[in-house]
Amino acid sequence: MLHLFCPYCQELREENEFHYRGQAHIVRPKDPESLSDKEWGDYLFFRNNSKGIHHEMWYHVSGCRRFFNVTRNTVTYEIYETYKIGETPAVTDKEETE
Amino acid sequence: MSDLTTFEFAARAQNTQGATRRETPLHHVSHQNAEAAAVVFNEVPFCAQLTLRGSPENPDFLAGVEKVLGFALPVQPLTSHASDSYYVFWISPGEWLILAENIEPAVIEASLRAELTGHFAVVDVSAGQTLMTLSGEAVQQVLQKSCGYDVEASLPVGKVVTTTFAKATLVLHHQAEGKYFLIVRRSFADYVWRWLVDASAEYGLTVV
Ligand SMILES: [Zn+2]
Repeated sequence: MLHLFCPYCQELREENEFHYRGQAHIVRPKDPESLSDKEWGDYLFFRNNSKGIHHEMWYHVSGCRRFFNVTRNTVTYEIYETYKIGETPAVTDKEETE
Repeated sequence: MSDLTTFEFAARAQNTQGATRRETPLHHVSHQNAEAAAVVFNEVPFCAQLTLRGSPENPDFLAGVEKVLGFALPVQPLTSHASDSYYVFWISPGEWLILAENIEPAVIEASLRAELTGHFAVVDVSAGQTLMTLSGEAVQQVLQKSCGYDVEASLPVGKVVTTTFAKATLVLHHQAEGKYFLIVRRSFADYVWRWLVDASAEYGLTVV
């Protein structure tokens, strides 16, 4: 069981209060009409499958019902940080560790 | 008026709106185990419950709400504030739950709407959820069985958390030493009640 620190409730809660909601920081294209099918398909369907650092969204569904971001190591499950939507991650450069 | 108005209903199924019979989610509940009861259960009937949303960064919003409630909104996470008339719980950044036992929800809603302008929301959720209280000497053991949340270490008097309880989600508030509020969706009320009957069996449960 993971323990996640909700940056809105400001305390650790058990994983069963949360839902995982996939890769974070995916920016919706400003002008979708101008994209090629490939670019639009990449935006909609294709996600990183990184070994190591991963920035992902979690949803505090049984708590404050807010989305927030988590930096997690996909190999060790270590959680480096959680941060609010709109904030930038502090931990970004550990991709090559492990 | 129909003959329905002449019926006498129990406190939790009142004829409070003319001829319309009105039932709390747990109006059917009773339990005889009073002798050795270390867990005391109560459903507060027809409590006014309103969801209030607005920006805690908006001074006009905060001032307007304070004028109606008589005290400032609790803006720190997981905090609450109570007066003789109201309980107010922090639910999420920009979201609060207002409870009142003796004021009609429509009256509260109207006074908030009269004071507030701009971007805000007030929704009467009284019929959608219910307030249960749990107390007694074994109350903490029962809660610890039911929640992953560390009720003993992390829920001092005054704090409020939305968390999981058995397989339901509810708002849990430590109202006074040894007394807890459980605010649960109407559709989960009977499930939570039946869970409590089972979880309290070893201590003895009574309904007041
Ligand atoms: Zn939260």
